[in-house]
Amino acid sequence: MRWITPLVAAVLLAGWLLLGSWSGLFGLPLPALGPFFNPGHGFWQNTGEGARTQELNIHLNDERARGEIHFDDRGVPHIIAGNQLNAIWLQGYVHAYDRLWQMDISTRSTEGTLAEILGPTLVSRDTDRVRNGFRVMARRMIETMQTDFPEDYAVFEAYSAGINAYLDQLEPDQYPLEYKLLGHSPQRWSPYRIALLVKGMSASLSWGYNDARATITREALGEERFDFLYPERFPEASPVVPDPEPAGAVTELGLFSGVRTAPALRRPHWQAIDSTAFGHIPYDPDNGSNNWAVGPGHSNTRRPLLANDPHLPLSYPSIWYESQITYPGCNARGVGLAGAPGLMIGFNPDVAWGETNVGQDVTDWYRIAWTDTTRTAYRVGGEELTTEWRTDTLRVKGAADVVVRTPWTVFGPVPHDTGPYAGLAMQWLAGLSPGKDRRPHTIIRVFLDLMESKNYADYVAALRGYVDPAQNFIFAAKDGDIAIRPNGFFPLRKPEQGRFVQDGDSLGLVWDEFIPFDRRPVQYNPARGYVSSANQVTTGPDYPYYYLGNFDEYRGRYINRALERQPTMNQRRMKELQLDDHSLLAEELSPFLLARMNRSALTDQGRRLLRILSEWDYRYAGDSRAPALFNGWSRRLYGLTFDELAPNEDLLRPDVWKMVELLRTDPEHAIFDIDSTGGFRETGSILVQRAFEEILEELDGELPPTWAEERNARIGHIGRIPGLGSPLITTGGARGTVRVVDDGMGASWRMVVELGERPRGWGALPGGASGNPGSRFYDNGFEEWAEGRYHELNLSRMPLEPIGSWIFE
Amino acid sequence: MYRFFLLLSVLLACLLCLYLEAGWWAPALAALMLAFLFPVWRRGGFYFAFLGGLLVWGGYAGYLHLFSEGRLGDRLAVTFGVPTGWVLVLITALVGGITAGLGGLLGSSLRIALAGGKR
Repeated sequence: MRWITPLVAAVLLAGWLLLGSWSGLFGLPLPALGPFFNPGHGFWQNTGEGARTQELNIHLNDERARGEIHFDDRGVPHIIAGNQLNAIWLQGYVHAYDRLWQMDISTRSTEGTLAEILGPTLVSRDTDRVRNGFRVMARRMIETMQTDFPEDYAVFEAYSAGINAYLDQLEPDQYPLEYKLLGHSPQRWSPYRIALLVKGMSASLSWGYNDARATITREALGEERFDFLYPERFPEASPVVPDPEPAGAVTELGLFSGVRTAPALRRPHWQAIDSTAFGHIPYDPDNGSNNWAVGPGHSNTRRPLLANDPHLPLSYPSIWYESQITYPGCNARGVGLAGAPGLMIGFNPDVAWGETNVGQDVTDWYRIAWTDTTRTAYRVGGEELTTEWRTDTLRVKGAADVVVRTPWTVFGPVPHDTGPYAGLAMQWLAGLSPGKDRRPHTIIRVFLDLMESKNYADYVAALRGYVDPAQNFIFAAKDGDIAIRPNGFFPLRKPEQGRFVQDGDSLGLVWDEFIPFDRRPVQYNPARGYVSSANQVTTGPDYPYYYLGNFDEYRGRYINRALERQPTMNQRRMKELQLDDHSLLAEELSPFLLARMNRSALTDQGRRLLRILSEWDYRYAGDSRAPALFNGWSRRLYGLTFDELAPNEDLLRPDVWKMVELLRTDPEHAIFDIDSTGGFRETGSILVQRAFEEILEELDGELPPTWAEERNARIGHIGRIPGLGSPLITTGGARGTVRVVDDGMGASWRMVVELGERPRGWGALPGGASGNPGSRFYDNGFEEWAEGRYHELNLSRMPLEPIGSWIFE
Repeated sequence: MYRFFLLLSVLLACLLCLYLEAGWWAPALAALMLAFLFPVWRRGGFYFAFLGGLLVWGGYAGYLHLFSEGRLGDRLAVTFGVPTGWVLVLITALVGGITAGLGGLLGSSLRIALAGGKR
């Protein structure tokens, strides 16, 4: 009898301990409560600033672990080392300190190993990554580096060693918060993981394709209507590299229709373009970036200026990691990617550089002539080749392993068994890993060399090693040079090659020839006094090589117009242009909407709405009600105009400029007729009116929301964990304006640099150095960025008053 | 008198567990042994161990929360759908209290059972 109480107590205690150790309690997405709440181990340990605010002396038995890291008052590290490898080692160490989970999860996502930590719901996503060949591409990149570029491989090794040295001393109670929430542990780093990160960038920048949709659309509409609705070129485009002044004769054009062996035509300011496609998943026509540079003649201080803001997914922690890297021969400042060495956008005492995405399509799809239903072999140009079946095993948390089998052809993998791409083989430039015979170095050396560049020649030499994802590399130098080079590997193509699904019937279709480096397009000190890019079409119509892609034609034209109109620029005007929320689309379309309205039949509410729009200055300001009205109106008009395409989701959607053009030039065109209204024939004006009436009905007497409410933009945590994101962004900006802000997408870094005897730089980062939500450096840049302010970036080796210093000796 | 010794020693033991970075279950083990040593009532074994665990875990979490200006606690409050980070401090305190308390209950009830039902 007396043992009943201790028995009950023992059962209670055992039950409690079991409950507290149980992660995913009752199927809820919860960590094991005991360890998580234990203040000595769990999330409470992530509240402090940790080592950043400390003076540390770190002794490690690695020759590369030498140098100093000082943190400035914004938590940004300044790395000082005796040579490049030591600096890279230190960069790895400090990236691991600040961004461990981000690096881990983003490379897992590309590798297809998310299910291993997050469970069965991620199996289909992982399978997709494996089937698309990301593991193979990353391994191929590393193998090429080991055999052909050992010096570049040593950089990857030094960086990985820095990360692993940090991991070696990391106790579980100091794991980043996300590990504690999700109950997994960090994995060791390796050059392979850096390669995964690079391939992940390719996935978000050069993986855009429409081959199957274009094929289906052309079949459904017929060639004539297809060509009408989807012209390859926007007549009013303002390309990155415009055609040179008419130098010769139209007869030269005859040469250009030439085919895979393109003509060796030399022209001033030209180099050859590769048709590398930068696409997105899902394709998003508004994704992109801005950069421009003005030469001394266009700058009121006579000093060259450069601006760059890459538009990428906005998240906490930020995709970019700001730092300064100093060693003999290098003093560079800017941003790099957490998980990879070097600085991708930045400046040094002599030059500044940056990138925007080129956006050419470098993903092609091929129909394969399989010899049997099990796809053991296939025929290419009379030859029978054996399919290479690759097997990957996915480990799944809380479930059995999943085996993924992928058929590979000479073109690449066959990723899909269903949908419009079922059974097609994919050839994507990111899968290419050229050896020493085709390039002097690899992607990492491109950026390390840019960091050390002193002049235009250094910049050109650095770019030679770049393959994918192709970027518009912009450049300005102290000596007054400015330049832009759309750069990367671009396969030589016949006209329209790659636009539609092709028959994989020839080994000649395997990309082997590329536009030579010195024939890619270039603008070097052009007469107009500036260079710029904003993801628009790469070249003018005279460019001799065929390429295709998805290009944005509004921001680029607006930037070029602004630079033309402004006789001289200075750093303040550079910033103002980065922060400009004027929409060129609205400027061009909205007068047509207003002019085509029949006002006599309008109610008071209708007149009120029209007044909002007619008084609008085309700015996407946070407190303006016009943008929501304009967006709703133009979106409905687009839907009504192209209603013929609506029933089939696989059909391509025409560019919005096509609708504007038709409304302007041919409002009676048959495309404006709505199929479902039988005998009645609509015109552009009728659709404008009808779209407006739909909005009136929907608003039901209310005013449209402010742009900030409508846009509803926030920066979320990279793992979408609630509570770890930003508040609502209330300032201006939209996808179509120079100031790009949208929900989870926008200017992920803004930089303006003035070169001269004493270079000056300014930056704004929507986030902070730290990936720890408990740190004050997690989001300390948010307010500054949202409000359009900048912090100064200087090149003095040491921050004035470091908040912490780590000495490695 | 013994219950104050028990409280004091549980407090010290829980602090020691934090200092030694011991597992979350360690306060239960410590309280079990201490409540076995000090002759308190069964319920006393629970209450004073509970109070000890509550104070140490809650105190330390509260200190960390306050010291970090609630930066992490208030964010995680949103994650877990509670109004403020102080609720997480309270939960932490309760988890610590219950862990130590159940250990204490088992310790004291074992001792009493072995002593034939006497204190």
